[in-house]
Amino acid sequence: MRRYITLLAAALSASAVQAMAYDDAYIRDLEKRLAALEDKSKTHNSKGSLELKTSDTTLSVGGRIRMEMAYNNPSTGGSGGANNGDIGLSPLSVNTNGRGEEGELAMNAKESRIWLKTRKPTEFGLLMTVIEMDFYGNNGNEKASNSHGPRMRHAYMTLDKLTIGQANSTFMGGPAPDTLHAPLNDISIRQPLIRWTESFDGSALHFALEQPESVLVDVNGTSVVPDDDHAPDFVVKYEMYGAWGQVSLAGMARQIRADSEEVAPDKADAETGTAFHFSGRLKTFGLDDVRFDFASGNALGRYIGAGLAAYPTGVVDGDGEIALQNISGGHLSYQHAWSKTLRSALAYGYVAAENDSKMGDTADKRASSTHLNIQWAPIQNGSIGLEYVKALRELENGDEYGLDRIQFAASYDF
Amino acid sequence: MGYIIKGLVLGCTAWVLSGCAGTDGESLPKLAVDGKASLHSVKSGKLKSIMHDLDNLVFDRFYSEIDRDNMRVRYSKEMAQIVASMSDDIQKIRQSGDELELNEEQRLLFKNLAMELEQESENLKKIALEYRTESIRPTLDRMVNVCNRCHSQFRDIR
Repeated sequence: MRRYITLLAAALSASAVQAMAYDDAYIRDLEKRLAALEDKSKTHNSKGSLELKTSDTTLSVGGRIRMEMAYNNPSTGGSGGANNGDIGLSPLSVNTNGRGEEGELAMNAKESRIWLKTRKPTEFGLLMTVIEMDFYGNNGNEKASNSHGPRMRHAYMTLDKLTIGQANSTFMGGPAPDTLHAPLNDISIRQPLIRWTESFDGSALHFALEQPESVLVDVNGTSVVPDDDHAPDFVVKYEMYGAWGQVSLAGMARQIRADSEEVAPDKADAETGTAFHFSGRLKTFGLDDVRFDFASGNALGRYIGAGLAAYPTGVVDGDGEIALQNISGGHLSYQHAWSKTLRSALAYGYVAAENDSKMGDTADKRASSTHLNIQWAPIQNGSIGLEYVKALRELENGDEYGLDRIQFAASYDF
Repeated sequence: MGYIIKGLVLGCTAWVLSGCAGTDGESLPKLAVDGKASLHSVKSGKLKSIMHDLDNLVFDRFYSEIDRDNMRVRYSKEMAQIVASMSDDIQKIRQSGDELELNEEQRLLFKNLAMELEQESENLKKIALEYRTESIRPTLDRMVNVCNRCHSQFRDIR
């Protein structure tokens, strides 16, 4: 009997151990499957949510919905109903025409955008492409449909260290101040380029050839874009980054050239200018950071002031001779996080030109803007913000003009 | 005979259930706030700051999606580095745990959580190197989960 009980106990124990082993393995397998499913679910809830995959290519689609509303006093005046200057911010947003303009409320959703990107490993390294457009193309009317046209923002590919296509200029710096629109010294420009990047541990070195475009004024102050360029803009940039933040120093050389009939018959001239751009973002306390930049040189021209050519690279006289002018600008901003979802920025930016004596006395001499905002991100990738902007603009003749703006923006990236 | 079989079944069941129950209900010691824990806290602060930067990348108006991916990969590498360093610190804190007289079960739990964190840090590094940016957030969520489990068991959350 005792032998029978011992055998039975042994059999039961073996069975129980086997059952437990099976259960453990089964549970572990189930846990793995569940984790994989959770990952998949979270992946598909993350930004760039729509993904199509072939065996080696991943295509993602995403975009942004952004609506802006600004009350400007004074407004830029009648601009055919587009109100671009009353939503964006550049020195030209500050009205100087003295026609008695008062305040105006402007609203648009032109900064909404859509992008497609792909990623594919190749024998030369990772191949990535992106196409992005917004709606700052042809202006639609505000009377009925606001049917603004699409515009290409980015269209480029990167293959390991090589970038080719239309992308942000290499001369641009690190993250812009966390304002609804960048301060007036804004260096943001997109153009076709060929760039080579060497990456190191915590730093990178970029060399780029970028699209040239000489933007000058004649002695009457009229903008002249001769389209006579012979050499690309050359940019080299070194950047360092880490958990402390990032800094970058960029240098640029440009040839400014004009030989066209409309500038000076049978005359041609070319000048080579240079400029540098130092920028950075440094972590301070908690989630706060300080962002800064400073740029200077006689080749800045169209690169500074939101790319709207408020400051031409130089002047071309009646003999077709080009004189370049020094331009300097910078910003300083502090970003404070009140909490994980609530943040503010206080920013100041300025830009100043040493105009050549041949330029008229109505040429832009300097401009500045001060920004104070509060932004709330109640959901991931979504933010609403309210900002006050005070902008000033001074001409060569000493006349000063101002702009007060209250701006609201709501955006969500999908 | 029936009693013996029932006893065996109940015994096995109780044993299995006790294994599943883990350490619930048992009060675990809290680690003392010493230099190692302070260092851990500083690195944890850095990690939170980079995660905040990662979440706020979408609000930079000028970056293209590839620019953002480059930044995401850069931040992920930095975070993987910090977490790997935190894993080392945790190994040292484990030694403090020995001084605090953790029992075998608690020591095992601590070790498992430390290993999970190390695994996730390796995983994050791999994801960053492969540019699988869509997998960064789920990996970070898992990492935060490990941190929270460890903090809730072994340390007051400050």
